[in-house]
Amino acid sequence: MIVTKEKPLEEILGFLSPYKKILVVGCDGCTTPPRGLREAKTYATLIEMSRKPKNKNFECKATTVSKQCDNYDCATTLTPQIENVDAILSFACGVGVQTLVDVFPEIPIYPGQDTIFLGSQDRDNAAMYEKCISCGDCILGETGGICPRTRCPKGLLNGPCAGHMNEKCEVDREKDCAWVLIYKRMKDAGQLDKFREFRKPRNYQISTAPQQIVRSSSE
Amino acid sequence: MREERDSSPLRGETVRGEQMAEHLTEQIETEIGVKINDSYCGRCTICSSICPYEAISSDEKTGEVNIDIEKCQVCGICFSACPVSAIETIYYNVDSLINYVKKAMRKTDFTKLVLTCQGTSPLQRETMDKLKKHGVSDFISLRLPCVGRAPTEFLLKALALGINKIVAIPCEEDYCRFEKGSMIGTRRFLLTQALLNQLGFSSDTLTVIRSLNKAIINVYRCIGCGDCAYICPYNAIELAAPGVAQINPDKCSGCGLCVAVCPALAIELEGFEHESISQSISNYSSLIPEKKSKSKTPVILVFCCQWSEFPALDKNQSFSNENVMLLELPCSARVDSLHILEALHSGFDGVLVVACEKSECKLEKGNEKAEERISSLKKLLAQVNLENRLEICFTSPRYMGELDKNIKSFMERISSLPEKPHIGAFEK
Amino acid sequence: MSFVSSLQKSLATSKFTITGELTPPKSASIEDVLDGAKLIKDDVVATNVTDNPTSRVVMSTLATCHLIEKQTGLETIYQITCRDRNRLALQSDILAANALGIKNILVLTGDYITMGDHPEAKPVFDLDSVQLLWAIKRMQEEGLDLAGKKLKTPPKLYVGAAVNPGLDPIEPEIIRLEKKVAMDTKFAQSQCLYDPTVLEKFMDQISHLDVKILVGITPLLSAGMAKWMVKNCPGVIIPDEMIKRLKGAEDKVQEGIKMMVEVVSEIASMGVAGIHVMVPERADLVAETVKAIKASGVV
Repeated sequence: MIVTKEKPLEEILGFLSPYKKILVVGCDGCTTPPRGLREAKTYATLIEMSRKPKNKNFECKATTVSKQCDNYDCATTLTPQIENVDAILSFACGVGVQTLVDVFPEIPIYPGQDTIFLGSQDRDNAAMYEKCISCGDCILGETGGICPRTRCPKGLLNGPCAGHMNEKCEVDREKDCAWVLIYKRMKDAGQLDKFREFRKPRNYQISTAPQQIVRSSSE
Repeated sequence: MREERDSSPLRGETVRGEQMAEHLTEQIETEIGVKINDSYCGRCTICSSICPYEAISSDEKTGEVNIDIEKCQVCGICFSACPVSAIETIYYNVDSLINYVKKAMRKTDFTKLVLTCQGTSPLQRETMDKLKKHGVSDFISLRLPCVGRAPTEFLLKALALGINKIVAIPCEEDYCRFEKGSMIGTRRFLLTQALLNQLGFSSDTLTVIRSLNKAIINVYRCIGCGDCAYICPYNAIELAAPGVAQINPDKCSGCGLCVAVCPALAIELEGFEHESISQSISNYSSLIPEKKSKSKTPVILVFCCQWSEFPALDKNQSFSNENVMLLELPCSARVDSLHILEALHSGFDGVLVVACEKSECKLEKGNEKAEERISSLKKLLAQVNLENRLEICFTSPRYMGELDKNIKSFMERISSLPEKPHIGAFEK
Repeated sequence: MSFVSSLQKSLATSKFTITGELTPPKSASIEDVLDGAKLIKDDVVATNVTDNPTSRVVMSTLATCHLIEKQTGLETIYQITCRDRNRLALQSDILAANALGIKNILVLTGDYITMGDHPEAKPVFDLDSVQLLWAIKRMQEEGLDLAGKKLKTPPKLYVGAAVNPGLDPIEPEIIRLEKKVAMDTKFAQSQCLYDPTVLEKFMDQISHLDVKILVGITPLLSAGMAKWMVKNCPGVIIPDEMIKRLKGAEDKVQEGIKMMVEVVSEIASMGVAGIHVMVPERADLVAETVKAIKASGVV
C-alpha cells in the first residue's frame, strides 16, 4: 500500500483560503491508513468549522472515489458532483492528486496529505514499514527476499558497512541492519555462496523519472 | 418529545409503545446503587452465590451479608433473587416499577407489557415482527438495565393490575452484559409461567423473545481494508472475499466498534445508524439559538454509554432545562468522531463522552478504544483550537448522581473557555 | 622491485609500519592543518587524510593531501568515501589524485549524512566501497573507466580499505574483506583495538587472505571517552580493566597512552603489518603515542 501522512490543517486551510465551494475527495484505494469517505467528511467538517463563521456562503462537501489513480473512475464518479466547485482537496496519494488534475484541468486540486512510501502493514505493531523503492530492477531473488536498496539507507549492494551494532543500523538504532538480516536469512537457507557474490553498481537509467508503460490492446 | 423509531436511537421509544417521561428511581437516603437491609436478611446467601461479580460475601464472625459496592456492577440480579426482598435498590425497585405500569395503563388502556433490557432496545424491526406474531402490537414498554432484574413479585403484581401478557426481551444468553442476567431472567419467566399454568392463566401469559443487535455490513460500500476484521474484539468479522468483509452473527455482540472505525462508513448498527444520530443532533441543534438567547449556559451533547449510568437515562432525553442533549450508545466504543465534529460544527458548545470505568467495560475494553479515539480526535481539534470542548469521563451506576456531577463540572469548564472561535479558527 | 609509495615499501620490507591520521581543516586555508602535519611527519611513514569525516564539511581531501605533501613532504593516504560523490566524480578525483602525485588511497563506504552538520543533504552512495575498489582495479589493470572507455594514462596507486574485527556477526565483515581483497586491496586499516584477544581471533579467521593489516590505535583519554566509544562505536570492545585504570589514574592521558603501548606489544607478534594511530583533531597526541610506542622498544 501507499503510505501517507495528513498535512497540518493550517497548511490545508492556507491553500484553500481563496475558494468558496470546496469538494473534499477521499480515496478507497490502497492508501494506508484508509482515507475514504470518513476521512473526507472529517476534513470537510473541520474546514467548514474554520471558514463558515466568516462567510455564510462557504460550502465544503465530501465524497470518495474507488481509486483516484484511475481517470475513468474519477471522471464517472466526480463529474456529477463537480458543478460550481472551485477547488478540490484530495486525500489520495500524490498519484491520485495528479490524476484529478488530468481529469479536471480547470479546477485547482490540492493535496491533503504527504505521500511517504510504499510499504506493508503490520497489524500487531500498528505500524507500516517501507519495503520497496520501485527501482525497476528487482534483486529480491539474490538477497534472500529482503531489499537492500530500500532497507539499507546507503543502498549498499555489497553490505553490510561497518556501522551495524547489535544487528541494528548505524543510521537509526531502532532499525535492523538490512544486510545482517540478509546474511542471516541466506545463511539459514544455505545460500552463503550467493551472498558472497560481488554485486555490480545499480543502473539508475532504468528508473529515470517520469516513467511510463503503454499497455497493448491485446492484454 | 416523541420521535419516530426509525430516526431515533433514543432509549425506549417505540412506534406502538409509550415510554413515559417518568423517574424510575427512588429518593432514598443512601447514594449507593444497591444495599442489603440486614434486618430482613435471612442469611440464606443465595445472593452471594448468584452474584456474577463475587461482590457479595458473608462476614466470617457475624454472618452478616454485605455487598462490596466497588465490585458491584448494579445489575440487580441479587435484588430480584432475594427470597425475602431484603435487598434495596435505588433504581427500578418493585414499587416504582408498579407505579410506572399503573400510570401507563391509565394513560393508554394497553394491557400488554414488554420488558426490554438496555442491550435489547431500541427494539429492532426483527423483534417487532416477532412481537406481532405473538399478537402484541400495542404495548407498554418498560426498559430495565437487565431483564434478570425483574423479580417474580413484580411480574405477579403487574398481572394483578390487569396486565394480561408480559413479553421479556433479554439479550442472547452468551451476550448478557451482566453475565447471568439473561439466563436468570429467562428461567424466572419460565418458572413463573409454569406456576401461572397451575393457576389457570393462559400458557403464553409470560413469553421470552431473545434478541441481540448485530452490526451489518453494506457490501456496496465496503472497500475491503480489513480494519474491522482486525479490530473486532469478538473475532466476528473476516474478509470473506477480496474487498468484502463479512460479519458472523453468531459471534457479533453489537458493541459498535467496527461501525465507528470503518473508513468507508459501510457498517451500521440498527438503532444507532450514522444518519439517524446525525439527524437527532441536527434536530436538537436547531433549538440552540433560542436556548442561547435565553441564557449563557453552555449547550452540550453527552454521548452516554448505556451501561455507565442508569437513572439519568430514564429521564426525558431532552434535558431541556439543563441545555443537555443526551444520546445513548450501546457501548462507548460506538462513539463516532464524525458525530462529535458535527455537533461542534452545528452549535454545541461542548461534547462529553461518558464511558464505563476502566476495567468495567461490558463489551471487551470498548471504553479503552473510546478513550484512544477521543485522544486522537482532540489532537485534530487542537488544530482548530477546539480540543478543550471535548472530554471523556468514566462513571458507574454504583453511586447515584455521578453522571450529573460530571456533566455539571464539564459545563463549568466549558463556560470558562473563551467564546467559540468564529473568525478563522486556525488563525493564531 | 619498484614501489608506488613509501607506504608500500615499508609494508613490503619492514617489520612494523606506523601510519597516522589528520583531519582537513574546516577552513579555506591549509595553514590550519600544516602544524599538525609537521608534528607527526617524522614518526609515521604516511598519514591518512579524512574525507568529510562523520559527514562534517571540511576542506576537500584531494587538496589537503596535495598541499600537505607539497609543503611538508609528509606522504599522505587519500581517504575517499562513497557518500558525497557519484561514480563520475569519484573516478574523476582518482585520476586527479594520481596527477597530483598522491600515491596511496583508502576506500571507505562513509558515515551516513545524518550524523554530521548537514543532515538535510542528499546522500549519494552511487557506489559502495567494494564497487569503488572494482572501479579502481579496472582503471589500474585494464586502463578502462567504469563505462569501459579507455584512459589515456591509467593511474598507479597503492590501494587500501577498512575493516572492523570487533563486529558481531563477524562473518559478513570477513566476506566483505574477501571481496575487497579480490579487488586488489593491498592493505587494510582496522577500527581501534583495545582487546588483543579480539584481534587474535580475527587474524586467524583471515589467515587465507593476502592483505597487510594495520591495527587501529587510539589512546583513551578518559573513562568517559571509553564508555562513550563502547556505546556509540560499532566493533569497539574495551576491557573493563582498562576503564578502571583510567578512572584511578592521575594523568589519564598518559595512562591511556601507556595502555596502548601494552596492546601494541601484545599484538606485534600476531602477524600484523603495523599500526594506524588516530586521535581526532589531536596531531600532538598522535605524535606522543607513536613516540611512546617506539621508545618502549616493542617494535
